[in-house]
Amino acid sequence: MSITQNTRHNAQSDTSDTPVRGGSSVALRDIRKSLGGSTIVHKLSFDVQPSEFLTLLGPSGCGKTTTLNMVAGFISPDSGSIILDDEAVTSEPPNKRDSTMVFQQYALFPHLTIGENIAYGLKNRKVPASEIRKRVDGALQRVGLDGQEDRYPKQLSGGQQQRVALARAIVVEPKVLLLDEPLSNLDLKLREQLRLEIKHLQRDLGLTTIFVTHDQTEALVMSDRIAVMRDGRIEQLGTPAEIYNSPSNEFVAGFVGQSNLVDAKFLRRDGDRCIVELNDGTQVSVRISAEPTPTSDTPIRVLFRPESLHLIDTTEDASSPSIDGHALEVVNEGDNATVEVEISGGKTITVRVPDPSGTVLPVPGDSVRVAIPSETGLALLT
Amino acid sequence: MRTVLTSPTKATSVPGRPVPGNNKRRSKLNLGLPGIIWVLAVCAIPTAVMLGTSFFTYEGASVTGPVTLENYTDLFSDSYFRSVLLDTVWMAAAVGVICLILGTLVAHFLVRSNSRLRGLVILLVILPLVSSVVVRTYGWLVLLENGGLINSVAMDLGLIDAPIAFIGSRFAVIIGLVHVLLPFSVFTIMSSLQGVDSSLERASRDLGAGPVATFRRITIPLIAPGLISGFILTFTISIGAYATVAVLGGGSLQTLAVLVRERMVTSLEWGQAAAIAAIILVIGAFVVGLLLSFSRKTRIPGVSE
Repeated sequence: MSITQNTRHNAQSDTSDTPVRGGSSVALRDIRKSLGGSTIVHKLSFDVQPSEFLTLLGPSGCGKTTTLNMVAGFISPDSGSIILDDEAVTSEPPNKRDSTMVFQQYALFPHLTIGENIAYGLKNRKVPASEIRKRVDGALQRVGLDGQEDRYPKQLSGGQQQRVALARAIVVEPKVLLLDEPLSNLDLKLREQLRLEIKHLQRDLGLTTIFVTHDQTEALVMSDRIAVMRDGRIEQLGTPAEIYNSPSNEFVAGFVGQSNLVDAKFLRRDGDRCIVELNDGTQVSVRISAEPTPTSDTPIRVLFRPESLHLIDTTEDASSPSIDGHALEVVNEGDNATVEVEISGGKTITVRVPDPSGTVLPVPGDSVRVAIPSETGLALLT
Repeated sequence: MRTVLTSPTKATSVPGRPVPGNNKRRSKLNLGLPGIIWVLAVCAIPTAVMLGTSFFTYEGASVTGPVTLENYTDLFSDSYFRSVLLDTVWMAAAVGVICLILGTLVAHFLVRSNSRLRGLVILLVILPLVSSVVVRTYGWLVLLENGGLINSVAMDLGLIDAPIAFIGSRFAVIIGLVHVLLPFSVFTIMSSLQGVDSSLERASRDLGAGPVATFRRITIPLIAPGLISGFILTFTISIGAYATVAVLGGGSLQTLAVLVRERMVTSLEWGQAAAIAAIILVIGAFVVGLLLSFSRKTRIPGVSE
């Protein structure tokens, strides 16, 4: 998987028929929460910029949903503050906060029609009936469900229900939109389609959004920035490209994208690069982001993304460093193929071959040579 | 009735062991047979006998004339009977409504809270069911009678000058009935509430509704089937309740059930006693039918029963 540098989207430049709202900022300061004796969130701080799409990404139990619920007001933090547009809302109940949430299980009111569901938040905000009507119609049109306002939630498919939930959340023009794994109950095709729709809608409206997911692809596709969380802490906060290309540690490298982690020895610093020696004696120049510089002969790990490596002919005299091994498993998926290569020391690394139709793939057992183009690796301290 | 009044009608089949279709019906009937016989013997036949009795006039144990509607016409032309009838329905409705309100509050606490007091509250709710009717009712008598705990404490504190005559009042009877019937409504409403995803209530709060508005606009409509079942149970039990009414009514408060006993034992008018019992049955059935059809009409489209 390759991520091209993703420039921050400028909402103002979007050619959209609806006026773009300014968007609000959200800030969390030293948020701490423990439940039943165990700490779920440790002193968490981060900022969400106006109109930004920020994703909290992590495995289950990492505290991402708890964090979102604290922003919504369903859970109150033990300490710390939550600031919405320069105003502390930490002790406000959810109905007094200008945020709306889209739930994993849709949470549509089953006894109300689609129209009544969407109008619910507007009625609570005392919007005049004529305007409610107009805004409900507009919201339904936005999510492609015009004309469905008299049906009931259980008469719609899962994807349609989640679209209604989205319409219900955006129709009140909240300061911040909270998405709690809204796609995880849908099947793959629908999920792929809906994540683009949500992203498009968010960009159009310039809505400040916090999205919670455990799905790294969703995070990479939809986010302006991603906060990778583990055990109630943020491991790394950055753009999708930063997270993917320069993970700050093995956890982030392993959680986002496919990764080959190869044991190596640190030799010396070389500007912002460094020279490492792999187990078979090959010396490779790799990027290093971590400070401080390790001392010579320190064992480290080097991350190679499968698509940055390629297979070359064993007879070819490599111009770049290479590792020899033999193919264990070859999987051809049509648009790309994956070759598992066993290298010295019994380790396996994965190499992705793009567009395999034009090349001869090895068969399992073949001796192969894996070329490591310079500066594709990243040294991670262990 | 989504929660309480459903009966297990689907035959259970063992996975991997095919059951021939034509055997299904017979085996279901065989299994149901003892139950059917039991219901016929202790419920349907006595009810039929009672209904039959209500169409004859009696002198002691012997029938004095042909089939007649006299028992009913006599009763309905008697203004005293009509006032007792209204009183009974009124009290049963009051008990039903009070149980509904208290039951909803208690059930909401039990389902949605994770307080440590939950166990204690469940115990308190169940207690009246497991204690004997005599103990329970005389307990209230001790509390409520003229020289009872409440009156003597209130007089000692100078709150009242003369004892309040609780016993024999509708108030005492309603308290006694609510006490014993509350568990029925609590557990009925609880099972309904457990079926309501708490994220719906959170969504409502999230969209700007306060806790009370959320309860009124989201929770109540969604547990309506449970509320209706709970009301049906408490109302129909109250309308025919005898022991609690007889003791706490102090002999002066009349309800239909007390009247049945009086006609049966004191004045030996068996035909009239049967007619009053039949009237209780009809009122109960009428209310059940009315509420069930209402509940069917308010069913949420797309939601399977």
